[in-house]
Amino acid sequence: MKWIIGIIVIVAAAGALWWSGFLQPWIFPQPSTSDTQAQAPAPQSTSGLPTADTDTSDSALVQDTAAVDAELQALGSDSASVDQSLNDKPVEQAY
Amino acid sequence: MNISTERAGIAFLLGASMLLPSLVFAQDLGVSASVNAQATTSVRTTLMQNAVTRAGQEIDRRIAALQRLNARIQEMRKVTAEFKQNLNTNIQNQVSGLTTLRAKIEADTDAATLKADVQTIGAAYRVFMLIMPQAAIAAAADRVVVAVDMLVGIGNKLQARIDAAAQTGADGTALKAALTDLGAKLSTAQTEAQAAVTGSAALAPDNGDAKVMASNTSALKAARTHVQDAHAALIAARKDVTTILQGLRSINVNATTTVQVQ
Repeated sequence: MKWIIGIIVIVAAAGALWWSGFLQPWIFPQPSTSDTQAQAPAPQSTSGLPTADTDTSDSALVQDTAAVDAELQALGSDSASVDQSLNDKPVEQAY
Repeated sequence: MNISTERAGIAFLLGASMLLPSLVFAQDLGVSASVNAQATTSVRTTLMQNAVTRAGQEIDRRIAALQRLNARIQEMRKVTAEFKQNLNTNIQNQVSGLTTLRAKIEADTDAATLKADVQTIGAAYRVFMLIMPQAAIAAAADRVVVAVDMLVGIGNKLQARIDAAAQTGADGTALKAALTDLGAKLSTAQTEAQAAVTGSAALAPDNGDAKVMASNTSALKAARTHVQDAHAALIAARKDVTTILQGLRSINVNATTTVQVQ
């Protein structure tokens, strides 16, 4: 009889814990912090930089300055295109 | 220099640079789109064949230039997709017109007709010589704005680093001066880019008017100077960034990292 009462008490206690949600983390494991971080979108740069606007680290600044240098080099090419367009010479026509 | 003010100014620049070039590209090259399929029984002379060959070379050269221009326009980042599509449509129409003209010239067997068709190439060239620099200037100005925006972002980061250094008791006076100069240079670049677009985008074809032609040429050369000045200001701004990075390294705000300065 004592065994039966003991089993009933244990089952009742387990049911109460389950109903209260206390056992949820063990039954349905929650995603870890690292999993949550992996799913979060990376911070975006609104200035066109390759790193986040809030990233002031040395490595970020190295990447940022390299990106600016690439744009400045391309601007040199654009500037040369302006010169070329102004100095254009057509093929001489027969008429 | 207030960085946020500069960003607002940049936004203005972008807004202004979106509309003006589209007016120019609405111009007609003056190339006939119709093909005269009527062939005469005349036999082509050597002169005529030479004319056809030269005309084809010039038309092919212009088509190639327009297509390169269009590719560059599609890379522009500070204009709307609608603006780029508008330019793409106009350029494709002009390429189509040139292609049609080329086919017509190749089919011409009458000397008088051929001469008239070839002469339209010269007339259209005046428009070509306006459109190409205008678009090249707009593309360069777009690039300037992109670079300004990026350097503003770097300036904000450097400001945070300088503030952090000041909290440790470091003397950031020189760095702040360099940062102020950075802002001034970016403002100059922005102003020059805007001036380049404003001074060139609204120009109209001269239609054979020598005075208009001279005025257009002068305006385009002035716009080129503005682009060059903007480029120089950006290079100076980039040097300010280097100065600040070197200063931060000497302060050694973060002893666990090494700042790489180009």
